[in-house]
Amino acid sequence: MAFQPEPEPDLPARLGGALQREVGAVPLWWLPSDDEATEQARRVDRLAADADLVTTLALAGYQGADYDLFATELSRYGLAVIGAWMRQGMILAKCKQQKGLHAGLRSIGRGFSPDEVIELSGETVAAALRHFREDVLMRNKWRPDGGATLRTFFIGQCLFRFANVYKRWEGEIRRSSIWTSTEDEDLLTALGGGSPQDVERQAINRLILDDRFARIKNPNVRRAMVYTAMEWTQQQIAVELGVTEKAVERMLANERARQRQSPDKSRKKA
Amino acid sequence: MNRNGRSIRTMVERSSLGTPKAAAARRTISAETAARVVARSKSIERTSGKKSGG
Repeated sequence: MAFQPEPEPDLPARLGGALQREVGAVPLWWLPSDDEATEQARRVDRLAADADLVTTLALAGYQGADYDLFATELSRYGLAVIGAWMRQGMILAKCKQQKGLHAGLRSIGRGFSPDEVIELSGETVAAALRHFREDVLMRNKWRPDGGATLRTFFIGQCLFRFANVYKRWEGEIRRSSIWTSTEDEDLLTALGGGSPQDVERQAINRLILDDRFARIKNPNVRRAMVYTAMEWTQQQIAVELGVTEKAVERMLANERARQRQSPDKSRKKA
Repeated sequence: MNRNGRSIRTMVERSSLGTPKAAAARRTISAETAARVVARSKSIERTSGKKSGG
């Protein structure tokens, strides 16, 4: 008697036989390779283990020593991944791949320093842990049948938190770095106006000016714009900056043209 | 040990945090550093007035 392969355990014998014939008709390259099948099986196992872990933590109310150990390991993973993406200059691109995180993420135009990586990744993961516990785990927002593993879900949460942390930090960096010299500060105070007693008015003017001039990358152009706002002549500006009057005229004209071409796009989106 | 008689450590290592790559990534960060971040996350909870756990 010819060998008859056993049907798959969960399939009736009749269907199993039909399945065998169908499989025989399928081109081999349609089928997953052994490696892919193994990888998929491992992934299913990991998802099941994730679910088991979450159930255990839920029974303890997401608190206590077990939860702390889990949170510590999650934190180690989050710090490693976010830190690596920051060091590799990939973090903003990763954020922008997330739905709803496109707006307001401006590059600082350089890499992050080691201290900045520690500061920002720490703040990010701390915020992510809190939201992951309260908004995801405690509200049953993560489910194994959603397809994403627990760690992937957590990294998604980290990217959302990083976007917030980064925007606040980048705004502070930008404001503090636009005007670097005492001379700049004096200029800005003079341009900002408001009486010395009117501290609130001065603060508001300063914020408006910081925002306006932050978009001008070239410091010479920025100073030329400030002097112009203070009603200096182009000749005076040229002497101050050590350039020709023609150069001042050109840099102001170019800057105004640039501003006309991109009038506050980011602000409109916000 | 939990209801299944397994430690939470074992469960973490069997979860998606326990893949070779994820485990290697975790090893680059000390447990002390991570514990400080966990403590920071709890202080965020307290300062925001939300229910504190852990």
